[in-house]
Amino acid sequence: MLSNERMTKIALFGTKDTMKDTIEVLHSLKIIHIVDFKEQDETFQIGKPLGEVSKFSEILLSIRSILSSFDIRPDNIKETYSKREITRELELDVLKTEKEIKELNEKISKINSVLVEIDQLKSIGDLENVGFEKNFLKSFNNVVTSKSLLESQLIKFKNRLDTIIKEKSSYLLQYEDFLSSEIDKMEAPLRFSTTTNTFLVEGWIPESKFEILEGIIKKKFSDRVHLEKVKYSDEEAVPVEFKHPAPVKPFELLLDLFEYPKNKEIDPTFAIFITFPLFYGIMLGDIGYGLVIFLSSILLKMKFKTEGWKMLLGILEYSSLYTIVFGFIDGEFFGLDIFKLLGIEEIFGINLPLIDRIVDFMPVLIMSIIIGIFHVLLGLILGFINVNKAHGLKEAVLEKGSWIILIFSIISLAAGNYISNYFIYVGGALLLISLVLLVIGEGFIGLIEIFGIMSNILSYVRLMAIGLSSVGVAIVINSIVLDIIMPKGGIFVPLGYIVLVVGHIGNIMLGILASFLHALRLHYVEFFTKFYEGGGIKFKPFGIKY
Amino acid sequence: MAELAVIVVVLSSAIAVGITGLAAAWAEKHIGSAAVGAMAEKEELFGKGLVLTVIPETIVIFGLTVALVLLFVVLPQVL
Repeated sequence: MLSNERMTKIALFGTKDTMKDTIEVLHSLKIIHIVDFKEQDETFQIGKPLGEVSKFSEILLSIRSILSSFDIRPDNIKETYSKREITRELELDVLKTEKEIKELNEKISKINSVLVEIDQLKSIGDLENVGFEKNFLKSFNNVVTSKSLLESQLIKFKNRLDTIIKEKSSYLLQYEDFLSSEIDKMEAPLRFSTTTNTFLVEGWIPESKFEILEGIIKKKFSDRVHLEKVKYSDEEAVPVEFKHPAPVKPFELLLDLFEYPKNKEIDPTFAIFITFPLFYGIMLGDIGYGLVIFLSSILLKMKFKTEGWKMLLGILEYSSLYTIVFGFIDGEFFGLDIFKLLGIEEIFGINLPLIDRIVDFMPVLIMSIIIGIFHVLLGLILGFINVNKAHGLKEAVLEKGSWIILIFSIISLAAGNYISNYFIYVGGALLLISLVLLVIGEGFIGLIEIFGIMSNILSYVRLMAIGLSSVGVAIVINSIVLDIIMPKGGIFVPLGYIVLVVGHIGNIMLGILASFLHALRLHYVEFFTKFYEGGGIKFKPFGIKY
Repeated sequence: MAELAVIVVVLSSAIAVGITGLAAAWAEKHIGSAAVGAMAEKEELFGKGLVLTVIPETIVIFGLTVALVLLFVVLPQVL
């Protein structure tokens, strides 16, 4: 279910006269991840680009500078043009538009500088005393009177520029899109290896799509282009394409920030999907803050449409739901005890709130450490599976099994304190076994690492500590406003509201950042180090813009 | 005697938070400036830099935990 798209390596070769059509086909299919050809020798050379790339690049560059200086974004596109229309009609038009915009810009800046100079001269005041000749002064006065003319000219040019931009923005955007993909195609041979008469493309393709490609190649080129699967070694970096259901998808971002999983390695995205929002919620745990984050991430999603933002806001959305749930458990609403305010002291004989984070911090601390033990254990089990797959059972037992047994021994030693003495003996025996395995597996240095895993587990105390500091700040803001400022009345009431709003906004910002970073850190430092190697690459099919 | 013990416990908890806070800040200063330097060379390192920068925060979290234990577990026993 959670396995990623299986990739297979392919080689595609043919005679050079078919190269252009082949590139066209690959570009439109968007399913092949090309591996750049690097090692040149006498027979195999890097291909030469098709056509005049430099000319196209120049046009593209100037279009992009227009787009960015006038802040034209893709959501301005209203009409769409078919590809053929774009190639024929637009090329000249784009050049003309560009020239016109440039000229108008130049005129505007010239007029502007003249206007500034006139103002400067005027600011000197009595020009005759400074030593200007009479003739000059006469003509200068003429210039001053024509200043309003210049200004109206300026406005005219500016309006003209605006209408051009408005008219042509969709044109320019489309053309930018078209040109950059065209340049992509023209430069594609730079990634191929070629001989005098043939070319060879190496790349990766999802296994399920291989037959489609094969069929198309056969139909289009019959036997002039040949396609086949290539064997590859385990060390080779296989591109990864995730196949996650929509709710899990945003959490790929967290792997993108770190490293992609290597081939055959367990993909941790699903584990992150479960634990990341949980940790976030435990740390922030406030109904009000959760609602604010949830609503603002939904609003921001409408504004920011790039892939990265969507993922980030998706993560925040899920995390804020957990924040609300834990807010009910902690009974916090912007730092206020909501159940007390509503007058609900208990439900079904259970005292509310379930946990008061300030008073009951000891239970929360112990709960955090227990969560830490289980999270580290999960990491070690995943590591066991990884090592077992890569190097066999013996290695897995020595490398990861010893740590797993060590953790179980800690659990049963702890249980011995509370449940029965019997567990202490079991724990001691397990501890002995794990230490022996550790020394066999990693030598005596392994014993030092025990402190490392201890500090890993203790690090989960931050689940309590970050939450405590966030709720602490909220309570301080509330009490400053409600107990100190508000009772004074009069002008202090609006001041109180300002302090309340500003204070909580600041605390929410801090809360979002701190909870996010610390939840992330718990995954990267405490969790990933137990099993994750990384070093994979992202699947980037030829023909898709990045 | 009891008063002296209370003073010692309270001061200890203050030191636990204060010194660890300074230590975390000092460590983060160095990592942060190095991370910004690395990001100037390679922008993709933003995520890693951010996470590396918050790593020393563990110090102050441990300090806070020690202070809380001192205040809420040790102090009642002294009183």
